Amino acid sequence: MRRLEFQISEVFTNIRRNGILSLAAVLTVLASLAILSLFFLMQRNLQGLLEEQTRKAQISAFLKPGLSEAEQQALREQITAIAGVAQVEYVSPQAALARTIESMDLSAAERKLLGPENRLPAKFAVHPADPAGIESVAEQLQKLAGVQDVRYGEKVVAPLNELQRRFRQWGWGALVVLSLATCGIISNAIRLTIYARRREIRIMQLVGATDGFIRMPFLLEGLVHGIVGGLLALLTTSVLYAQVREASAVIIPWLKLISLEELMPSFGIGLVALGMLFGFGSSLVSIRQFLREA
Amino acid sequence: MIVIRDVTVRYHRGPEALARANLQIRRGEFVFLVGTSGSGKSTLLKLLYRDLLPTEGRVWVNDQDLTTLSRREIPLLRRQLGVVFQDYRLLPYKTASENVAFALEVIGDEPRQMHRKVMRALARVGLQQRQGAMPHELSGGEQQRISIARALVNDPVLLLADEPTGNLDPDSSLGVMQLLDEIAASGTTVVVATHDRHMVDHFRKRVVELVDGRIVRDEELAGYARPSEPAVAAAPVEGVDLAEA
Ligand SMILES: Nc1ncnc2c1ncn2[C@@H]1O[C@H](COP(=O)(O)OP(=O)(O)OP(=O)(O)O)[C@@H](O)[C@H]1O
Ligand SMILES: [Mg+2]
Repeated sequence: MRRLEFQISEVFTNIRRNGILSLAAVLTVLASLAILSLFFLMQRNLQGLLEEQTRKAQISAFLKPGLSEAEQQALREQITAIAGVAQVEYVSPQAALARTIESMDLSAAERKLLGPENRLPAKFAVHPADPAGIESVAEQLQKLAGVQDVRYGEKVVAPLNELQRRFRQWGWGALVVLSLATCGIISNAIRLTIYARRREIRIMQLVGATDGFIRMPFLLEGLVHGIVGGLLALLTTSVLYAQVREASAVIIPWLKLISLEELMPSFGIGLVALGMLFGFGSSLVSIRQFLREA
Repeated sequence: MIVIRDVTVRYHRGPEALARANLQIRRGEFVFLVGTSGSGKSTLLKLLYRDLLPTEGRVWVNDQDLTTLSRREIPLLRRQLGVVFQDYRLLPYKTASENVAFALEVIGDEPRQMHRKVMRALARVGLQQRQGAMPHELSGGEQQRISIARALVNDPVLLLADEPTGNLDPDSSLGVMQLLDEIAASGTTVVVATHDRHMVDHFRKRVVELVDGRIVRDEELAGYARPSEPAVAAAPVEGVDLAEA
């Protein structure tokens, strides 16, 4: 107990004495974790965007003109029975026109140009359960008797799916690489704090301190640096991200960035925990290496 | 106390820093280790506090074979030794008594005993009244005494000193050397590596001389230079030293 007391008091003496190096270590943790978490947020947003786009994917099954009410009903049942269909929605020619007008944001004058006659066919809007299964659902719809034509934005959906898959892989890969780089940078900063005290460590070894005893204050220091750096990174990221989100709401209104509150306790805890882990881990690796060399 | 048997040390490339050295030192002896720069004095001392493993041969200190000591056992060995260097190696931000206490802190000594032991060690080196001084407020000789107090505070069986008077003026050197002599007289084995011809000649102890890593002389009640050299006969203690010119 007495030893622990001595060690803890040494930790704070050291942080005070090596103020500049401590500050450098904290700032290193702060900067690298802030970059890491901003990258993470960017990845999450892009991922969310892609997912939303694929989720929106739907198949339009245009009906042959002149189907009776009963035939339409039968067709709906046939469609519902297809494997991989989540939802079927009837869109009347009037509704289709209204949607088109809305989506194109037409002015009254432009609307007049369309003329009084609505030549749009009726259709079923079919939502696949899994965006990846959209092609096979479309194929089966095509075979149905009452269906004249099938459209599902085939030019967009397949590449989007591919992009999403690749993005997930690359995103995580990049996150791992960035984490390793972060660890490297932090452990270099920690190594400096050890180097600054090499004489003291040598004296400790000379008078018979165990490796564990020598290591302890460095591990605690690493932990403190990690926690403080992590908290500052959380603060910085929150402020920066809130501003980015505010700006994007004005510049790109359709782009809905994830709010940090949505990610909140886990994002904050994760960031500080990562700081602790990096701080502690880097110290452990560096001091072990140093003691082994001595 | 100390047995060095057929010890050879070769640093990472480079010639042998010690070559088939054999040496025995009994408990309570005082030994001067002399030799020119690079002859292997520090290397030999490093072997004794297990800062270095011999490339070949064996080393025993206080009945422990240092060549088979595990990493975990090294601190336990060091607690039985005291080591003193030319540059004192005091922590600049701690007071004299804190520097001495440091040796007890790191091994987890009882706080009540600690104070008593620190005071006793400071008394032995005659610096109780300077206990609150910072190292930079002390003279070189005083700093070296504090470092000796730190080495003594654990009641070591063996005290190793690598050029302890290397940075000191003759008077301070004499004081430090007398202190080491008293320590040896109280039963602690003392090994001092030194260039200090006057001290060696003055104290006339056992002298072990190294030349290029070889022990070329091991003589009781001896002087700094080999007996065959006329300078010794001419100037046994002080005064003009012809061999130096
Ligand atoms: N860490 C090392 N790596 C490589 N060679 C070394 C190392 N330490 C010492 N040596 C070499 O070993 C030889 C003996 O060195 P040592 O330090 O033991 O000499 P010394 O007698 O203490 O000299 P000095 O009186 O200058 O202190 C020298 O040739 C030196 O260059
Ligand atoms: Mg030397």
